[in-house]
Amino acid sequence: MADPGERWGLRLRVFLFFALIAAGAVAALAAAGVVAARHAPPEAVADLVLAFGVAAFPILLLTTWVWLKFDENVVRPIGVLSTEIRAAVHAGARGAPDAKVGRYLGVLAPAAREAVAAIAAQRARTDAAVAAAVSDAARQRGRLESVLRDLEEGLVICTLQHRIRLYNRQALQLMQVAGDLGIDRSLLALVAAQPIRHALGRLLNRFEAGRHHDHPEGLTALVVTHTLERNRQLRCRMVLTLDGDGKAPTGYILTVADITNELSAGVWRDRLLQEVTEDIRSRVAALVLAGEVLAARLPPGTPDADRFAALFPTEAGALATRLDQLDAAANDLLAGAWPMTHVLSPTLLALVRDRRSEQRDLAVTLDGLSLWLRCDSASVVDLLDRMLNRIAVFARTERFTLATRRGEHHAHVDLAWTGDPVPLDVLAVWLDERLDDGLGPITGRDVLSRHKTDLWCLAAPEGSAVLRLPLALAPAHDDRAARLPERPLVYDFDLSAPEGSPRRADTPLKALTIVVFDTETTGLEPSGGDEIVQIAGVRIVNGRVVRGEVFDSYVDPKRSIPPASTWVHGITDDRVRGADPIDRVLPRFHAFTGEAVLCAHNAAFDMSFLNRHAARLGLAFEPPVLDTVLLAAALFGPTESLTLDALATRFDITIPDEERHTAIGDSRATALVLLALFDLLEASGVVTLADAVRVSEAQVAIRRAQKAYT
Amino acid sequence: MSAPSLTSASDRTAPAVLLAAEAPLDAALTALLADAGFVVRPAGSRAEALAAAVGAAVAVVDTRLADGGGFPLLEALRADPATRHLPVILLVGRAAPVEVEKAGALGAAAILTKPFAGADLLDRVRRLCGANSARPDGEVHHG
Repeated sequence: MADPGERWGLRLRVFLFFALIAAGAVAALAAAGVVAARHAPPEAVADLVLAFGVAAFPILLLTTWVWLKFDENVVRPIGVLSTEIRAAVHAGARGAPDAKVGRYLGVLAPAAREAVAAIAAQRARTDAAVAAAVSDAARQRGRLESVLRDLEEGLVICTLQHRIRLYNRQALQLMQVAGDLGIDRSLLALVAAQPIRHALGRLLNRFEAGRHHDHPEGLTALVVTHTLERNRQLRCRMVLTLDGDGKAPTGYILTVADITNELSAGVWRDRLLQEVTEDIRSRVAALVLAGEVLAARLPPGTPDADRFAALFPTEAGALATRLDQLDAAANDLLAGAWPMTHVLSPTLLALVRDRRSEQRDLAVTLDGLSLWLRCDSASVVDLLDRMLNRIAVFARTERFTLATRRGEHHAHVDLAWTGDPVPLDVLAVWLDERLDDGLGPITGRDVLSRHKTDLWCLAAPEGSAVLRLPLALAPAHDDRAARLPERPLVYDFDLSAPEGSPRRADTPLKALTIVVFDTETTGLEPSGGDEIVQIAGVRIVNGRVVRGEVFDSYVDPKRSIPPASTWVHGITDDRVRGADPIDRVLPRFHAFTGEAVLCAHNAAFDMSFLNRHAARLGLAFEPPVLDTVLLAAALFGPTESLTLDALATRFDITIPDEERHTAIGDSRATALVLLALFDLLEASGVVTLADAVRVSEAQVAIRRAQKAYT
Repeated sequence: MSAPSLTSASDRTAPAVLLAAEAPLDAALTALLADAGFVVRPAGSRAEALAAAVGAAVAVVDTRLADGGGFPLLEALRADPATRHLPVILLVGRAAPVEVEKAGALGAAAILTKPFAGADLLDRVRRLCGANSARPDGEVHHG
């Protein structure tokens, strides 16, 4: 088959080549004949012509025969082989070329057949790997699905555009969806949009500003919304999901619980308590006063008059104290039925400024303190936004200042403008209006009563006015330091896969549970009094380093760290002072390793430190212990550079600078090196734990022998 | 019993007290204030209260009023130049800090949470009657 780019096919070229040889030979003969005929006598010309014919005929015959043979045994087989190689490469054909084809092509034909077979084998491997990955993904998805199914809460995963990507059955029920929720449908078609948008906006702002690192709620936010069907109140927790690098948000996870009954019971209880105490107060006040008046009007000398008269004020006082206690509980701004979140006041004010529900061009300046408020921020923002828009019309102004201040019992959100204050009657009308549809059928007054607060207007100096909304201050956020460092979600849906003993000799390497660890020490001589100053380890399960499952502890070596060692690992005496001693840390590390196989880079060194203390503490680290140095030596030969850095470079594993030569950084790097080694070992027939132990022991023997000779 | 010492006060021009409260409290308050020698001007609605406030020495306003409550009345009294300096004792039904703060912000001279002893109210009324002539702005007492 001729390539489109090629003008002439191979066969034509070869034919032309032979034709040229034949034509050249015949032409040379003819030329020789012509020269001879010139000098020969005329009678000899006939003989010369005959001689030319006798010479030219075999040349043509022979050339043709050779061409035919060449065509049959060389040119055509080349065509066949190239077609087959092409078929193997492009079309995935697996059949090996006919062994007879290309007999006369020397090693070309066998080489081509090997190439075709190698391509086919590679293709089969790739197909198998793809199939395995697909079934692995399917299995993981199955596990994820069963986990979600058994979850009591509803769960919905959405994109940043609120498109539903995944949900469980509970979510369907909670959101009052009959039939299928429908992947790629918008969540906002099912639940009130405004609280969801609001929470997502808050989380995105928090993430972009990097505030999630020290925000008490991290990248999560509470959302109270309701279903558009049947108006069920939902309490959701929104978790922003990030891409693999944690650099960009990809969507959010929403866990959903129906709190309609809980909420209405709570709201009903709150309201009842408030109404009843207020009613009792009025009635008791009337009784006390009536009693006092009557007692005062009694004629002097009435028996017991003074005693009973004194009863009224004292009992009124006692009763007032009791009712105050009840009120304090009922009116506690922090103990309402409505779920509240903590929000930093500048965030809240910025959300009000940017809400612009009525697209008015208002200039809102933010001011005041930065305070942690406790509120349902979506409804508060809408309430303030509504007030802003109404006041803009009422006071014919476009310039506002929005500030938070600290009051005696709570925070004040103050909205100030130049102009008249708004009378309470007007405010009352505004508060009875429905807020944004996205929040559902609630009024400003509902928002106030949820927050057990009120708002009012005051005239301020210089012709300005202030609308004041008291909100609860969130309890102190001083516990921030005590919070756990942010760590990724620890999960592995495959964890349930390998049941039984995880360290049997015939366990495939990739099915092993392994703790890869590293120690930093005061020096290189455990027998010479050197001690561990840091132990760290990571866990490998099912051929993956489990994120978040980390052991990392300093150890007080009870001796000084030589400067040379500090120079290597950066750990100073000050750093380990106050850390637990090895007697405390080692049992914890032993518990962390559990049933796992241990692995370290140059494990013998680390184990010599561990075992010395383990024996004393009655702990035992079960062999075998894998060693990345020995495994790498088995693959690359003992003369290659087998340092952790060299292996990491070889496998393109980057250790962040700040983690280099820290126990945790080296553990991670060693774990990744180990997994890379597993791939290569598998290819060279080292598949099980026993295989790995065998090649490791062979390397130990080689090293011993080398030592003996040097 | 402090009533006898007050009989002399009624001989002179007795101070008028605007009373904006609803049943059952209004009857008891009227009797209490009248017995103490004050001229009680009861008001059932906001319009009545605003009219009766002119010339009164003190106003006693219950926050639990039918037409809009005591806070708008307090605000209206403050807005009217004729009653701007009239000291108002607000009777509140809740001891919530927000309520107390709102009362103070709107210019109540004193706040009493119900229930209270008659003597406490009379004490404040008397004090504010005296203060009203001397001081235009009432002092805020949190009861």
